[in-house]
Amino acid sequence: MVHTRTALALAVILAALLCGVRALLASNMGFVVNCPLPALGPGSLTGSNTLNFPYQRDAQLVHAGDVLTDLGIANVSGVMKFLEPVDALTVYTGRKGGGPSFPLQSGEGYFIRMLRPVDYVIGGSSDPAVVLQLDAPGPASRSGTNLVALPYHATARTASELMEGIGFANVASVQGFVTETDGLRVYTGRKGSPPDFALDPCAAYFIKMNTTVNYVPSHY
Amino acid sequence: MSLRALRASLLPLAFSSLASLTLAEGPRLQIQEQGLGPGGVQDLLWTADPENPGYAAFDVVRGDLNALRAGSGDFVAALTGCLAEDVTASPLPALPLPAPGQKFFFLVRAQATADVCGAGSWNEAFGVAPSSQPVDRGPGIAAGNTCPCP
Repeated sequence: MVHTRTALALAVILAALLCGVRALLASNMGFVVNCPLPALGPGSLTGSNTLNFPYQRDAQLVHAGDVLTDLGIANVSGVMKFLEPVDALTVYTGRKGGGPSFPLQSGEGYFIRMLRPVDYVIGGSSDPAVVLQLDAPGPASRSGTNLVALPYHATARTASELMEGIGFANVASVQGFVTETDGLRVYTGRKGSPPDFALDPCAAYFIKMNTTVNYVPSHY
Repeated sequence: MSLRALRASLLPLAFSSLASLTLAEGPRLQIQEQGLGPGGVQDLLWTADPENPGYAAFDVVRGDLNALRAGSGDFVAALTGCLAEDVTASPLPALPLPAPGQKFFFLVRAQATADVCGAGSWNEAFGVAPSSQPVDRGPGIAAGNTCPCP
């Protein structure tokens, strides 16, 4: 009887594990989006923008240098990655002395500085296996600030909905970059907080954490 | 019944349940640019699960991502058209390109047999715990789909 139960349990666990793996790997939703990236001018103080790539990108988009090629290098002065342990940006310009290129990672947001405006057409698909590690202050993050790329079809449409999805107490603030001023729009959800704001799938957002959370964004 | 015999009888059951679940989850979709560069043309490709040779035909729909988000997952309002009905192979080349600010989504569904309406699923992980897809896509797409087969 014990053997029977053991065998049954093994079979059920095996089936559940295999089913779980398949469920995590498969995604049948894709996207083609057109994200306007303004250069210095009326819509942008310096031509700086945040950028959010889909989790399964075009196979040719692997490194920062590929982004420059895709946008046209004459249109871009650099791609920037946020370094959490030091709260600073590393820049790749694709020019002489412009620093090393870096790999693009699913769930990671980037800054991009435009020399000429481009309506950037980006294609890709979802990957429900991606888990966003949102770090609180500690060895992995100096201040608990994470620059995050959400899935294009995330159910969170506003900063407040994103905070609720992660767990309100775990999050200190959600911050969005404002191209017109190079400033940050901040929402804390606490007393005295500036107003809530809408999230744009083209943009990346800073999420400042009180507690480290492994977050799987809910999606449509 | 011996333990060995029991294992032998249970494992095929486990694998057959796996096969039926993966069929319901649908194929894997990719969007690929035809060469890097500004204004690149995008192709839609999908990969059927090789463990499920029963896939015979595929349907593809397109929708407006901004409308989907604004409508809290209302696929009836967000759906804008049927791109393919009962096609047997990937890819769909040269997808329509969105205007600045526009965002399109694409969904592909596998059908075990061509022209059997509703045999496949538009869902990815709905009802498969732990799921990050809280909304069942099926009813909305069935109501709003312009393909002959909802």
